[in-house]
Amino acid sequence: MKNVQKILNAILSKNVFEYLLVDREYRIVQFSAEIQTFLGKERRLKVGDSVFDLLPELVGSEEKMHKVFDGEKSSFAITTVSKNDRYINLYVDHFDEKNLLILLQDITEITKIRQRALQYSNQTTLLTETLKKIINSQNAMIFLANTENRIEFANQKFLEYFNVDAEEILKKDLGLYREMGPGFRSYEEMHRAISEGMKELSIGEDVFFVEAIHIDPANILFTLSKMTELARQRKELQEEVAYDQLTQVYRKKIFDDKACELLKSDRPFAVGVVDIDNFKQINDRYGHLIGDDVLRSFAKLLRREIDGKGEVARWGGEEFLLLIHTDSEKEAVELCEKIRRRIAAQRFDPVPGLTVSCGVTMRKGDENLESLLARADKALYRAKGEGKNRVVYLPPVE
Amino acid sequence: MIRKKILLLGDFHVGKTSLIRRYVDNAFSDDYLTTIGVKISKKALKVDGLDFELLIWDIEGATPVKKIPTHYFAGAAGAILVADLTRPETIKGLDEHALRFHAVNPKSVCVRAYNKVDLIPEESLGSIDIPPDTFLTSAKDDINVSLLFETLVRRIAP
Ligand SMILES: Nc1nc2c(ncn2[C@@H]2O[C@H](COP(=O)(O)OP(=O)(O)OP(=O)(O)O)[C@@H](O)[C@H]2O)c(=O)[nH]1
Ligand SMILES: [Mg+2]
Repeated sequence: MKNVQKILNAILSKNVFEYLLVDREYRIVQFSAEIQTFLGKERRLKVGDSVFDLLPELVGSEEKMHKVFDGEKSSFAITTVSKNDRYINLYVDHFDEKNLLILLQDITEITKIRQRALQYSNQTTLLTETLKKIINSQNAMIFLANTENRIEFANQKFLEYFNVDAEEILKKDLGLYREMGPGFRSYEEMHRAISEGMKELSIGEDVFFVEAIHIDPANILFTLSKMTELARQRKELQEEVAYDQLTQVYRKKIFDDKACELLKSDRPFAVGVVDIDNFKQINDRYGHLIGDDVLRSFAKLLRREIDGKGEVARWGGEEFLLLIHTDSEKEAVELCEKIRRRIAAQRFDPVPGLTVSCGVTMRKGDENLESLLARADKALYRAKGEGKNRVVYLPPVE
Repeated sequence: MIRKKILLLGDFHVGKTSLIRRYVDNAFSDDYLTTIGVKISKKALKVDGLDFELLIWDIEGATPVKKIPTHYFAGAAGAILVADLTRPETIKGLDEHALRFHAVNPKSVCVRAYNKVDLIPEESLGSIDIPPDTFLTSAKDDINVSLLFETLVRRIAP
């Protein structure tokens, strides 16, 4: 009676459905009827069968079972065992000196749910591993920064380049944006610069092609591809072609391209033509080397005055073109006037009293480069005609 | 007849279930159904004139968040440590599996399977570093699978 109670208690406490009793020879002495469900149809269970034939899961646990018999150990369990399309937990309990109680708890339903969750999680891990491999195999530095200046993810190339580890960048703001390009105050600011047209960015000696997109409101994905030597050479070559060798301002062709592009848009701008007065006499009198010096210093002054406000190009000989980003004719004229005054005030040793004439005009809504330049040139012609060393403005409506 | 408990251990998705399926049923499937808990398969074989009944424990793989429960290891005579050649991190993980296994069964033996060799192009095979007692296997193309199991049984034979 006492033992029956024991079985009942065990069953009730573990929510167990089936049980077995085995003797010291590990032979089955008693079992509940439904235990057959775990065995399949082809085996019929009998009293006297070896428990290891019925439950091979227990092979290897002989020592533990021995201890349970002797009361050295009160019980042990083998959990989540798949058997005949069901899942069970196996509990081995002390019953009395002669018998062990083995309880089989059916956990099929809950385990199937856990299995699905595990399957999903494993597949997600695999996908993540694969994506990481792809991103790490890229030659570019790829990283995801949030608007709080934390780097949420960075690929291998990035970690190696900045010599940081993945954990470190997650934890704190390392301020790496300060090392990039001109030195930014945040990744957001860097993103802004890129979306406003910045295509390259230098870090120390290295130059990178850079791209950035907001993948969501809080996260920006940056891609920095190192400019290869070849790309750098190509760029240098392009720049060499773009600039006039003597004066280091744009060639006329580059001016044309830039002006044409602006003419296609509706952005306002002014064009100035600046010509050194009586340059031929300088060449005749001081020689071409001095003439070249004058051109160089003159171009330098133009570059400095125009810096940030537009572009300078050499049209040929001693004639230069200015492209001025402004919607105000007054501002354009003032800038040219300032240049004129500066030249007149500066010494171009050994040439005394250098002066320039300048024609300025604004673009019209719909015109081509030819007509725009013709008008600017006409203004210059007038400036010359009116006695040189002056700026003449011609409005677009003429 | 000698009854022996052996285990397959390794990270998830390396091909433990597939190796057993190939060895026991000579079958293979491309589908992935992750193992939860443990499932035992039996296989009778004769090695050096001795009859064996292997009880092969197919145990759920280790994941980044869960190690393999060691209570499954009790009384095992040996283990096959399985890694996936296409995932180098699973090879690195084998030493820890071996360590945990030996902590429970100090006298047991291990062999290693670098599985899915069918996915590795011929020209890359030469650069694989193969430690002793390690087999390049494929459950899919049935490469070295019986050899793997039989080698382990020879090691644990009395
Ligand atoms: N190509 C190839 N694929 C294999 C091989 N072995 C297994 N696979 C595939 O790999 C995936 C995982 O195989 P499983 O045998 O389920 O892996 P497991 O180690 O038992 O996984 P868990 O139970 O989750 O730990 C399945 O899609 C298999 O088809 C192999 O030798 N070659
Ligand atoms: Mg499996």
